[in-house]
Amino acid sequence: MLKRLTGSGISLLLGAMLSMTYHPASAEVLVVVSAEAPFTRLTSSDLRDVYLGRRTLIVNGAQVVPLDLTEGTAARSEFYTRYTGQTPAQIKAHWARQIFTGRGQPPQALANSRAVVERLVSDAKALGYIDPSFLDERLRVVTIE
Amino acid sequence: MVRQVTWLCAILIVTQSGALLADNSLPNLEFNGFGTLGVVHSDEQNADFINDPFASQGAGYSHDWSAEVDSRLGLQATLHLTPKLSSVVQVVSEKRYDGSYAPEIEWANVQYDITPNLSFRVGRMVQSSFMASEHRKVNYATPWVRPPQEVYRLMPVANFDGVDMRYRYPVGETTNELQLNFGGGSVDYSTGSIDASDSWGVSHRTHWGDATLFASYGELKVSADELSQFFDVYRLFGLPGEQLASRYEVDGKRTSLLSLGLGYDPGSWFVMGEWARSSSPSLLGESEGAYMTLGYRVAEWTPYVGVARAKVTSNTSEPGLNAALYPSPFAEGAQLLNGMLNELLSSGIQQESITVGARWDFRPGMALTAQYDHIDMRSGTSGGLINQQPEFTPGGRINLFSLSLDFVF
Repeated sequence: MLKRLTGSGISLLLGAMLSMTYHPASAEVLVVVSAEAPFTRLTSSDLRDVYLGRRTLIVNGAQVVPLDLTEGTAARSEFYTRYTGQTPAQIKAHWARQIFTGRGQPPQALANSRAVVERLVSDAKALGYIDPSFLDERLRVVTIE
Repeated sequence: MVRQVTWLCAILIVTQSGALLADNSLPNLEFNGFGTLGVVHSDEQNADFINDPFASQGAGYSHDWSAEVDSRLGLQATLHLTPKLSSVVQVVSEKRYDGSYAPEIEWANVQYDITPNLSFRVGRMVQSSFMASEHRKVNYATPWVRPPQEVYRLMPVANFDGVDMRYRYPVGETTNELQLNFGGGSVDYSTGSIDASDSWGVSHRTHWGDATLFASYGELKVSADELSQFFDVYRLFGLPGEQLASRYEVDGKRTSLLSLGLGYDPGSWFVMGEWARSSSPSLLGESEGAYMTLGYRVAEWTPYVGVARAKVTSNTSEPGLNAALYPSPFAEGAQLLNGMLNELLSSGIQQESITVGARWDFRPGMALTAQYDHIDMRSGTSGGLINQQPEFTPGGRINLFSLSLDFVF
């Protein structure tokens, strides 16, 4: 237990440092997984490809399942602008191209960061992004390289 | 034959899949839709500008401002039966050649994912001949009011009933998709139908950071009742007629289509371009088309400019039968046939165009686009315009003004 707390403390610190280093202007979203998840690092291109449905990421034999926030939330805009370089309208057009050509549906969208946290805690395969104020010891911040 | 087998397989898979249900969130059914309310004005009043090559009316002669050229509604149901088995049905309602808005099935297939990266489909699909072919009717998903006709009109038959395979694979920082398909399809128009059989195609798409690379090659056999009858008449004119018929007839010959595309989209601006070439040892001849579009994004606004060009690289005229060798009334018949043959040979799109437009993403899932096109038709050609009136002069210039409200839900 103590070990886990220390671990998450370190990843918290790491996450905070990273967000300060790379994105000093606005650290409004953190990419997170369950503390039980088999990975804590992702390349930025993997993160983008997973969220755009271009790549299936398999870690330790399990498929990583991305979780989204509903359209119109500030954290969602922030996440896509930062990690895909695209506005919500561009993401919408991207998914229109996928859906109407039978290439799949966008990641499941949850109403808020609290719902994402609850899902992550119960599913070690899930990947999400949240408002930093919802970070707790049951989660780990994913380092984006 | 391929079509019947295809449909039988699709029905079997759906009806036999009940036993495979495992995940309790499945089966899951999703509904999506897209549409366009668009109007277009052409300053050429003696002929009609069209988007769908089989339309019977358009903007210019039939309507001053036409809402029929671009407007449409599409509805899609996606059924996930098991984690590996899904089905997509998409119907599209738009102005048809017969004047109705009767919905047509654009997609209807069953997909089986052998792995998350390898899937097979059987049923009705859309050829991935060009970069935006598969979503060409979803205007919300493309920058323009309509895909550049200099390229997209090269291959009028887009749907096929058959099978396809898609394989996604990452290499380093790239993600790739390889697609293979086989099948056949047909389209109806006011005085007949065009069938494509034994069609196969392979396409490949690579995403590498902000860049997209696309390549596609396919072959198909095209046949059209009206053309077959036309060449049967030629054959009545002895050996010279036989020779002309076998040179220009379309039935039984393979048409090939090669296309290359690229896109670069770092977010605040984008560029995309395609080049394509269709080739057939028949009346259809050889054509090339290319376009390039450059856009810039400022908040909700996306102004864009584009240039495009299409040309026929095979002969566009033919001396035909020597009418002097035939007695009346065969001489007059020969002249009539020659006239029709030359009209068909010269009907390919040969033009250059400039497009300027702006898109406004004014609310989620909705965009308003205004577009101006200036089309300069090569001398003697009519740029794919239909309903040409006696006053119409080929080889001119036309200006188009389009306004389009596009949405997805």
